[in-house]
Amino acid sequence: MKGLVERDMIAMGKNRLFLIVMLALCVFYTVSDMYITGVLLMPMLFSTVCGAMVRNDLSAPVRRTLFAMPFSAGEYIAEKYLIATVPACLLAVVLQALSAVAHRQSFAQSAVVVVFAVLFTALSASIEIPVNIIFRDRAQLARICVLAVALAIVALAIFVGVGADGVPAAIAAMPLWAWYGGAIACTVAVLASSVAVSLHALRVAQL
Amino acid sequence: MTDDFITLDRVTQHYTGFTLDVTMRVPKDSITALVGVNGSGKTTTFRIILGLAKPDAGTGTLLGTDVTQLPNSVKRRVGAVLADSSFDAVFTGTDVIRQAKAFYPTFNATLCRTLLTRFSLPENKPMSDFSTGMMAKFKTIIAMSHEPDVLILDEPTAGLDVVARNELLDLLRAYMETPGRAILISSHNSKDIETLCDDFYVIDRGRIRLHETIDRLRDDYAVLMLTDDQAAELDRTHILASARVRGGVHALTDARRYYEENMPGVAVARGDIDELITIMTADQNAAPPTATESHNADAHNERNQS
Repeated sequence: MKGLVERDMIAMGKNRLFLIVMLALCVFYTVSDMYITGVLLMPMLFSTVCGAMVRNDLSAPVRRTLFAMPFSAGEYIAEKYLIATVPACLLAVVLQALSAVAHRQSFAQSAVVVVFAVLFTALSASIEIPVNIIFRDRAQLARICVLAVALAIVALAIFVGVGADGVPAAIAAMPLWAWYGGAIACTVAVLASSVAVSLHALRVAQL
Repeated sequence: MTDDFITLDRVTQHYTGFTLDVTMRVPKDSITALVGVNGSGKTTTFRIILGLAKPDAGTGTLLGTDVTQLPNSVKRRVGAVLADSSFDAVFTGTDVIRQAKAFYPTFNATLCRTLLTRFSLPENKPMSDFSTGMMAKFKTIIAMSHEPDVLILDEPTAGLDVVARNELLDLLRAYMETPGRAILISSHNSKDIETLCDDFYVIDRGRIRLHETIDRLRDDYAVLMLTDDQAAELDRTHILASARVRGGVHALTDARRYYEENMPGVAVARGDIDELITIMTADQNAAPPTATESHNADAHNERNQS
């Protein structure tokens, strides 16, 4: 796995323009009133870009060189999820800490934002990585379709559940420990499912 | 315990309109070639050996391990170059070396840099700026630099000029001076094969048609250039394949002396791999060889060698 991490570090270092723009956006969001948007959005963006590196790995000329190297499909998947989530989650914590200082947020408020940032980051990686493995060059189109379906399901759930007895109202009435537990359970479930799908897709793929 | 570094035993893969069914071996301390026309199954065979494609049937081993379950410890002992493969376009030579050092603990960066300098390959240019020839040399150097036990090279000299090609072949000969190594190579350049390799397999439409040593190819193989009348009277006992050409028939034999003695008026040319492939692939109006034929070819060759 060391080789894969080294490789991704090199690749990320080549995206200097992207990193500079990300840094600028992080600063902008942190000092502006849209700091919560920044904490939620920037880790997701980072995670999405990391997931998209899978598409390059699986392009025809590169995969023939890369997958002959000494690592297993499991190591490849593990590394990709780690790279797509851990730095992004750390970024969320750092951004929220800076935002909390700049905008005098309470610890409780910060914790909720970070939990949602982690959840959204996990969701991004959970969609991005398997979509790029399965669809490769058609991943951009497939991603739009998957997101459209996911958003449609969420919108339907909200629409159907509108009202005092609906889903949004029930979530809002939940105690804090249930919020956190639910968010963590959701994150773990989504990631686990995504990892299983990605691993299976990579194992059956003709490289 | 076998001394074979690579074995494929009835390894089969089905595609629409194409079936690969290969049996072959690459022994230790040998350079074996796999030759055939485009689309004959060479690259597919290499991909199966490297674990990049799973066969539908049959068994294959690489350094004694099942090719469908290659552990990292085995992959670290293998250097591979596949046709149409590349490193990341934005990576420079330095980046690739850094990546290789992380993957292969035995990667010899000093050796690699020495070879890159010898072949006039820049370390600070991105891969996207490399020409076809530069990329071919670079991939082979990277594959060799972690001092693997097995090199699997799919057309490593493609796109190289004659000087660079000879230098690369010298490099491969120097690599083989260390005992306990093996090379499996494919090339469309018959001279490369005949000067470098110990033995070769001819693959045609997914099946092995012939397995022979280079020494026997030089000594015993010949192409009989026959008129129609001569072809009609030909003793076909030692004819492996024949193909109609303009003005007559070319017949491939592994018993050159027999025909030189018994058909003194016939034009006989020494066998070479190009002619061998041309005649064998054109034989029988392009009817694909059956699995039985390919195994009979191997048995025939093994009887001759013993």
